[in-house]
Amino acid sequence: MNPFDFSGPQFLLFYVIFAGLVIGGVVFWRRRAELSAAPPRVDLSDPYLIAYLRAGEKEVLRVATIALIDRGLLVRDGRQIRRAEHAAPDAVHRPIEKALLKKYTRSGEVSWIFEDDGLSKVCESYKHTLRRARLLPDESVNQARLVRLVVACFVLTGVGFTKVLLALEAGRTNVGFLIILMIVAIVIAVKVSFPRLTENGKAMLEDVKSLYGGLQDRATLQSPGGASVEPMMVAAVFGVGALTGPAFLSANELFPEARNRSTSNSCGSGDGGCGSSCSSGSSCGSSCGSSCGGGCGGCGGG
Amino acid sequence: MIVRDRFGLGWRPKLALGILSNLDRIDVVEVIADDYFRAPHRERRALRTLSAQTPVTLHGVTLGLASSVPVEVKRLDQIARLCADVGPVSWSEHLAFVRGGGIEIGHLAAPPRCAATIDGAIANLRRARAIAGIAPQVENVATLIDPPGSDRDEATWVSEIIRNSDSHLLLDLHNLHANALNFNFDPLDFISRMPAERISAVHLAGGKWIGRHEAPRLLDDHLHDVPDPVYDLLEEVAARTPQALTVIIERDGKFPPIESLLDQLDRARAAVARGRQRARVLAA
Amino acid sequence: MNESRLESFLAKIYVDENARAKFLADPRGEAVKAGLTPQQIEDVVKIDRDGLELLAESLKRKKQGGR
Repeated sequence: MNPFDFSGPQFLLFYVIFAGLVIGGVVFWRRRAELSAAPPRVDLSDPYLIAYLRAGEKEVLRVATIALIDRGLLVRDGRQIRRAEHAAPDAVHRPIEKALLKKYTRSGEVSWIFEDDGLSKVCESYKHTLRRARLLPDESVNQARLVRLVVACFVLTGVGFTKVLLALEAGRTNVGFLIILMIVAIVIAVKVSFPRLTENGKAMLEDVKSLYGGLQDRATLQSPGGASVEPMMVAAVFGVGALTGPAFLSANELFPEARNRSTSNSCGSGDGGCGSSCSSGSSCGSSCGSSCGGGCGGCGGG
Repeated sequence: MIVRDRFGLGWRPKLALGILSNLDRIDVVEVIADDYFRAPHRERRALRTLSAQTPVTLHGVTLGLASSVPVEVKRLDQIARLCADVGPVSWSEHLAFVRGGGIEIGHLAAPPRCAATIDGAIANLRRARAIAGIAPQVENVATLIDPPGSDRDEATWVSEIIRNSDSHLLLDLHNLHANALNFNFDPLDFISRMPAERISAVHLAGGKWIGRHEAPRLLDDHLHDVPDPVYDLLEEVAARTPQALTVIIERDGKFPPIESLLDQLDRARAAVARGRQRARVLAA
Repeated sequence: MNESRLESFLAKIYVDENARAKFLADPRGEAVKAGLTPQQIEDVVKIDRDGLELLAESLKRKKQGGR
C-alpha cells in the first residue's frame, strides 16, 4: 500500500497522522536527550533563580519589586514606586534588589522595570546559572534541537512535496489543503522543538513546587511586612497570584497579568502542577499516623 | 584521624524553606520514608532533587522489625524501591512492633523483650538487607508501658540484636532519656552496654510530661526543644564512639523559627566536640 | 507462634477500648481466652496499668489527629 497512491482526502488524513507521528517523535527524542538521571545542584533557596526558571526575566523583576515593597524598601503610590527614604542599595544583598533600589531613587512607573537594560543585565546572571545547570537550553542543546527540527522538517516537506508534485503531474491542482497542512505541521514542529526549559528544567520546576508545596498551603496565612521570606518564595515558586489574601492585594494590583497567569498555572494545568510533598493529601500511608510529611509524632511511647 | 560527624534536621514541608536556605549549617536531612511509599512519581523525583542538594537519609516507621512475626516482603519492597529512586546515604527503622493479629497499632510499640523478638528482629533485619541492598540502622523506641512478656532489660535486648545482626544502632537519646526516667534506670549504663563501634547515628528530640501528677511519664512527642540532659548524653556518646556520627534533630510540629532549630543543632555540634575532645585527652 | 499471640493480644488491648476494658476487668480470663502461655498470662496480669492507660490515650489522640 503506497500512501502516495492515496486519493486527495485519503492522503490528507494520512498526512495528519504521519505529521503527528513525526512531531511526536521529535518531542520524544528531545525529551530523552534532555532528561538526565541525576538532578543538578542549584541554590533552591534563591527565589529569583526559581522565578527565572519558572517564568523568565520579567518574573524576577515582579517578585523582586513585590519583595522590596513588602519589606518597606520600596514605597508604592498607585502605579508609581520609589525608594523609601531609609532604604539604601547597600541595605540589600542580592544584585537585582540593589539595582531596583538604585533605579527608583526617584519615583517612577512600575512598568519601567520591564524597560530597563540595566535591570535586564542583572537578570542575565540567573540565565547563565540555569544554562550551566542545563535547566535552560545552552548552545549545544539548541544546536541539537535544531538538528532534530531540520530532520523533522525535511521528512515533513519531503513527503508533502512529493505528493504535491505527483498530484500536479497527474493534472490535479487542488493541493492547497496539503500545503496548508505542511505549513501547520512545520510550525508545530518548531514550537515543540524549542520549549523555554529543557526537560531537566521542567522536572526541576516541578520538583521545586513539590518541595515547597507546604508553603503554598500557607500562602493565605502569610503576613506582609518582610518579617518572613516565605511570601517571596511563594511568589517565586507559584507566582505573584499565589499571594492571596487582602494583605497582598497591593502585589496583585501591581501585576494583574502575572496574577492571572499564576492562577492558571496552579495545580493541574500548565507546567506541571503543584505536587506538594504530601501537603495536598497525597500518600500519607503511615500506620503510625504520621501526618503528611509530619514525622512519626514521637518514636514510640504513643 | 579526622572524624566527619554530620548534623541535620528531619525534613518536614513546613521547614522546607528554612532547611534549603541554610544548607551551609545542615549536613543531612532525614525524610520519613512512609510518606512517599504511595506518592506519585513526581514527588519521589523531588526527593531525588533534594538528595542532589544535600545528603538524604530515609527513616521508616511502619515495618515493625522487632517482632516475632516476619515482615511482609511487599513492605520491604517499598523501602527498596524508594531507596533506588532517591539514592539516600542510609536508611533506618525502629526496633518496634506496629501490628499484631491484623490490628494496626498506629504507633511504634515496644515489643516484649525476649528471645523470640530478638530472633525475629535479627531475621527481619537479614531479610531487609537482602531486599533493600543495605542493612537499616535500627532505632531504640520510647515506651510509655513496660512491655509485658519481657525477661530482660532494654539495654540487654537492644545490644543482643545489634551484636547478632549486620545493623548499626541509631541511638535516639530522647527515647533513652524518657525510658530511663519513666522506668528508673541509668541512661549512661545503657550507653556503656551498647557496642560503641556500632553506633552510627543519633536522634535528638523533645517531649512533655503527661499522666497523673504523682506519677508522671515523659512522652517523646517531637514537639518540644531538645532538653539539656539529652545534650549531656550526646556528649557521652561522642566520647565513646570512634566513628563518625550522623546527628538528627526531629521536630514534627509546633515549629519554632528555623534559627532556633539551627541553634539546637549548633548545641549538638558543641556537645559532640566536647565528647570527642574528652576522648582525645583520655587516649593521650 | 506463642510470641505472635502475645503481640496480637497486646495490639488489641492497646487499640481496642472494649477489649482493654474487658482485660482490665478480668486480665487472667482474657489472657487465657487469647491462648497465651502460662508465663505470658502471669506477665500480662501484672501489666503496667498506668502505662497501658497512657499509651491507649495517646494512641487515641493520634488517631483523632491530635498529638
